Amino acid sequence: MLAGAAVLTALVLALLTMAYLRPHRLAGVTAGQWIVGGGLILPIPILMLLTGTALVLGEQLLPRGEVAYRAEARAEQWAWRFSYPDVPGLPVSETLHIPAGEPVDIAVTSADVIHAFWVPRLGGKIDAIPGHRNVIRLQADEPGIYRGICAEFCGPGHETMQFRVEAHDLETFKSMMAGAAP
Amino acid sequence: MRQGDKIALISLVAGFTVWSVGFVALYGLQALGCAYGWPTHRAVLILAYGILVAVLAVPAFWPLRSDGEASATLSVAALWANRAALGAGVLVFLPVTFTSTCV
Repeated sequence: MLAGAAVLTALVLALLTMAYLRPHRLAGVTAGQWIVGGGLILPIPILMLLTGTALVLGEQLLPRGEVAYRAEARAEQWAWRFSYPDVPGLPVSETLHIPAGEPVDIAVTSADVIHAFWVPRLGGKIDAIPGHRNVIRLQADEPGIYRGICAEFCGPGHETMQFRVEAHDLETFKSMMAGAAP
Repeated sequence: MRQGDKIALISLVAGFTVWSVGFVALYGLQALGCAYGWPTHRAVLILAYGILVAVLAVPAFWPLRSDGEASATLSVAALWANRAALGAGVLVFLPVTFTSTCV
């Protein structure tokens, strides 16, 4: 994605530079050719490729079948509360703990208005809707801290409604869920 | 405003108006089908897609007859706007025919 963007940026900058430094080389290109070439032929395949990629990735985020790890995210103005249905004794926390390298189903809901759960580095986002339960499947490939935000404007505290996701190696995660400190 | 100009003006926004209505309709059908567990959900979405593309194709391939300079200019703009709406409809609505609908 970054490489593709770099190539396109370089192409546009090269054309712009040529328009200033060697204008005669571009003099043969008519206005119509610029519009059709730069406005249709160039962007349409790129947009179709990006859309196709988004559709495939979107399908992969769908929670099909069962996974071993589940969490619940409850949004409220203006905080996130995470709990684990398989470990009911664990206190509700503002940090989501997940195992690295394993898919986790996160059931997202809201106590008041519509929010949206989004951890940009882990992929897709999903709405948190009062009275409704949306499930998103995420996987952190490496242990670490991933920042999450509310991605749907939800009132004056919206921009402060952030959270963290801590991805632990599997053994640490299992011991945490068993009640030990991480 | 002359009658021909009015029709040309309506034609100018026709394609993307149908596109907008179609977008909301497909969204609604997708949500209703999931909520009520329609057994023919996919068939309904494919049918709706077909109808929308057919409706969008009408102004895209059926240029207005113009009766003056203003309506002639508007008619050309309308034709290409409606072709853009058809292209947008074919591409943007297509995923409802094959991607996952309900989880």
